[in-house]
Amino acid sequence: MACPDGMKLMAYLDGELEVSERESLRLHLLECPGCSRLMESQRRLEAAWRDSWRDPPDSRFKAMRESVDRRLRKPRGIPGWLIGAAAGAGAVFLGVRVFLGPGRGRLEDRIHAEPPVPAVAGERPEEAFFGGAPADGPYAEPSSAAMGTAEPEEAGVSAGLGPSSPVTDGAGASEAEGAKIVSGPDSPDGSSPGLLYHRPSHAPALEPEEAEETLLLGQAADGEMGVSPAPRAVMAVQDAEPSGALCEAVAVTGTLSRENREPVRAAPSFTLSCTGPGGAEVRPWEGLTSFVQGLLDSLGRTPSEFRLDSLGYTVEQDGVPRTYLGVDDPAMVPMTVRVTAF
Amino acid sequence: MILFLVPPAVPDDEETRLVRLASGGDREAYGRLVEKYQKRVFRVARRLCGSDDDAWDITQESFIRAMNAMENFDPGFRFFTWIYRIVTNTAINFYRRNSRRAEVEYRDDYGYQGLTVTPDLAAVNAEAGELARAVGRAVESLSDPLKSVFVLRVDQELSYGEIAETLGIAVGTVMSRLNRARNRVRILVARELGREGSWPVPTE
Repeated sequence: MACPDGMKLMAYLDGELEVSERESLRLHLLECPGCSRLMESQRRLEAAWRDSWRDPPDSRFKAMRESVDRRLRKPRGIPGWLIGAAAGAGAVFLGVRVFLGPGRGRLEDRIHAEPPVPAVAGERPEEAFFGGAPADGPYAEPSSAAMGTAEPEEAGVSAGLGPSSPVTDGAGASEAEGAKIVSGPDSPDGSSPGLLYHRPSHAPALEPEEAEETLLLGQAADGEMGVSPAPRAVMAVQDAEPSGALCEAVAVTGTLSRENREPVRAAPSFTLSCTGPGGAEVRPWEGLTSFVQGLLDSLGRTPSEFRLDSLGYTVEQDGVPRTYLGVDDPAMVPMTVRVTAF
Repeated sequence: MILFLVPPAVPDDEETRLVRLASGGDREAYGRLVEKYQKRVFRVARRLCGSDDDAWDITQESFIRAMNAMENFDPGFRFFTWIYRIVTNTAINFYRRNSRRAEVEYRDDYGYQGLTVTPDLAAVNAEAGELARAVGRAVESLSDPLKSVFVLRVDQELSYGEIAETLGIAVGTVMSRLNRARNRVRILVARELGREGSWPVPTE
């Protein structure tokens, strides 16, 4: 039996396989040191975390229950006099609006002109990368206002927030919805550059603070303050593909903390040029630059040319194409990246 | 083929009675339910938010929300998945209100997070306490959708079917998120415990 994929191994670990499959996997584990080692280490890791739990003292729970009880005893709702006052104020306001006439029309215009909540590209890389999970919003569930449905974030981080969201499936933003590639910090709408993703043209502009931090990543001058440690690439060999190409995985990791800053490396000693579909030039963005920098750190070298597409990037080494996974995003535009070192 | 056994909703008579009473506004019955689930709810909150104080606030808020919504409780639901859902969503909302970390987590320029393979952790020979702390920090850094699936499965040991019901997502989604969460946790733990060098890397 060939080694099962990680998801199946984990389903075995979780006791979620049907009997016959469980049995064949059990036999496989007996003869495959790799899989059994993986399984054992996973089991150990999870047990260590789970067993580290200590319940707080019962007195603390009692205090919590009393507090809940107290709060539930308080009458909910708004006092009647306040509702009356609010209704009165509303009537006056409505009167003014009606009286002013045109104002009402403008208000409606404004409501309709408000862009629908976009899916933010940032949510999707991870969603998409790990293998095609249906992008049903993280906690989207109809009919559950009373059940504490997760509130949409102001920047629309949750995908599929509601019927007005143009992007509620894994297909991502399509051209028809006005999507475009934002490829540089000086993009016309002032938004932060996206990485490999179509970004809906109506995506909200990021806060200046964030935009600034983005620029610091791998692009700062020597000694400037940046996120520490800088994002870097982590690689691991997965398996040989039937085609003979070696399949590997790449992840750029790095702390995401805002507090932890220290002087960063000098700007990279290479330039990038990217060609998109039909030979169209795509301006490199700093996310790509830090990605290539990560490759440089990880491999000790940078490929002079590679192809980026929704699967990852493919680079020819000793005449053999090797596919490095890492960018599984169907919305990504395939492109060729040339790296010129100097 | 993977078979998902969703345990039949075995009606716990006492619990069904309490839920019915609480739906009618009986706070004493509700108090019994709170007593029954408080530890689990607190534990989920604590695992999701990483701070004791916040976890108490979230626990309290969840039980208040739940009581206020009791009259709309759908008897077709199991109470425990319902309360799990409330605490999960409360924790996430609480976290978003009180922290900017989530925004940073989703930033575009970190698009390459994650591996499809799992690094070999066997080389990590940490003692359990050290390992548990490293896992805890790794879990904290997960995005909300991954974190909640990980906590519900690994910590609470819910079945895939129960997690799907709790979060209102498909079982397949549970599996893929869980797989991703586990991969990420392994990567971060291996990194923190300094065993990256033992991972297979491409050779020239």
